[in-house]
Amino acid sequence: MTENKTLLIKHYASEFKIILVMFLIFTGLLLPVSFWPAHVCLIAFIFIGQSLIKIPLSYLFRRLLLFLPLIMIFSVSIPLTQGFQRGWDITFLILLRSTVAFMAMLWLIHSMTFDEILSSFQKLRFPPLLLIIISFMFRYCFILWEEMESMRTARKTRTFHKPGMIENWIQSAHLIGMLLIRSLKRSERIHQAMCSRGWNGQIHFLDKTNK
Amino acid sequence: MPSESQEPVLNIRNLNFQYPGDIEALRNIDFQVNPQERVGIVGPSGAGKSTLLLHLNGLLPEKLSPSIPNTDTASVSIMGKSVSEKNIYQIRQWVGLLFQDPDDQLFCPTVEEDIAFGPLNMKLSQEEVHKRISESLCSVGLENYEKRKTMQLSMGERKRVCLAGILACQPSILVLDEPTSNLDPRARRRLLGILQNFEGCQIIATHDLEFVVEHCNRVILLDGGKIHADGTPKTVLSDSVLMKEHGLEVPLSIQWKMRS
Repeated sequence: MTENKTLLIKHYASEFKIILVMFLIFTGLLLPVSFWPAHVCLIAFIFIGQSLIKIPLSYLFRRLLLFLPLIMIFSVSIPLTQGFQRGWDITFLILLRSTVAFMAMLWLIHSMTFDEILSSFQKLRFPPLLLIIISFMFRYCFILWEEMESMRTARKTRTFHKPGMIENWIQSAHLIGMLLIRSLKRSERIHQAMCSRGWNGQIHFLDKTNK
Repeated sequence: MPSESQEPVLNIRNLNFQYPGDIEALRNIDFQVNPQERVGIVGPSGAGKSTLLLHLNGLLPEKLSPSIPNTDTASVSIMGKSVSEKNIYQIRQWVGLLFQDPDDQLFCPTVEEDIAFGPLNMKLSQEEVHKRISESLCSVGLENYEKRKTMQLSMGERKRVCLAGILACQPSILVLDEPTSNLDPRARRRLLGILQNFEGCQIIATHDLEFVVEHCNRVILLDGGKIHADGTPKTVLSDSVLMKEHGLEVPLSIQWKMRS
């Protein structure tokens, strides 16, 4: 039974998954704070969906542990500026809404590959420019990370004493500056490589099920 | 060497190029390449080899002229068509360019996605794209590598995947920038085998002069953005004075032949 349900969710039309997730996020956004039980229901619904595609609980809690404190940092100052009762209401509302959105997005990225998400957005007629920017951002993230790792390794090989805090900051600032310049050059070369294989500004996706 | 009866696939006439800051990269480049010719472009670092290759694919100059009706006025033409904004996508289907650093070329997460990039841009059907992925992986000896992550491949494998990505577009001209750099002898030998099987014209910029001796039937010596010699590998690479003058060395295989 569970197996069937899992298969059902996995084989849902990709577009439907995206529409459903968007619907959940927007419903969460539109509900006022007095409807907090509805928010809880939404979170519970998403949680069931996540369980069906077997997202490990430990993974989910780890992600929430990273995400929620971050939201708390941003929203905790609200009671100081908006009055105590109203401020806490807004903080609570931000927490509820962001948790709904975060969990819905986790559900989406675990049920579809990145290319499937992009191609579904394309089928839903999202602006192509926006999709290209997202697609590049995803691909260039790894390149930036790789560049940074190689520069950090190169720095370590020529560091012969433990740097002090200020020295460390200065070195890190240099590293970030160089990273920007190097990644710019690298991205230019990648763009040239893409153009040499017929890239004309349109994205096409490989259908991995079609063999 | 070009024979008179054949129509050249590549025609470069009086090509000049400057990088911003008045850095002269190419000066009066003038040559033709015939079908099935294998041309090695040799020269010291900074000679303008890579810059020249980028022109063959219309990647330089960055702004191409909208259209050049008369090929007589064009600096670079491929199969009779000038490299201009009008023809650029067709020319890029004919010319497959392999970059020096495979990491610049492999930007997709998996091997199959990366190889599919060119054929998908050619708007081929999904069936045809999958067929080309399998065929090109087979031709570079990487069967069943479709699902492998590009970041987890060795340097030799990366180079071969890059080549597969180009072969999947079925180009008529292969343009290779330092194809043997960072390859171990076995990977180099394998690459040589793949290139020997490619029937179209090849233009290879390299420092690996032994590779040129073994694989190419014509050599162009480029230095300071100018062509200093154009001939068979035996005549150009055995000229020790010329080689020394341009920061190169006579390949060992030729030296041995000269001694014996």
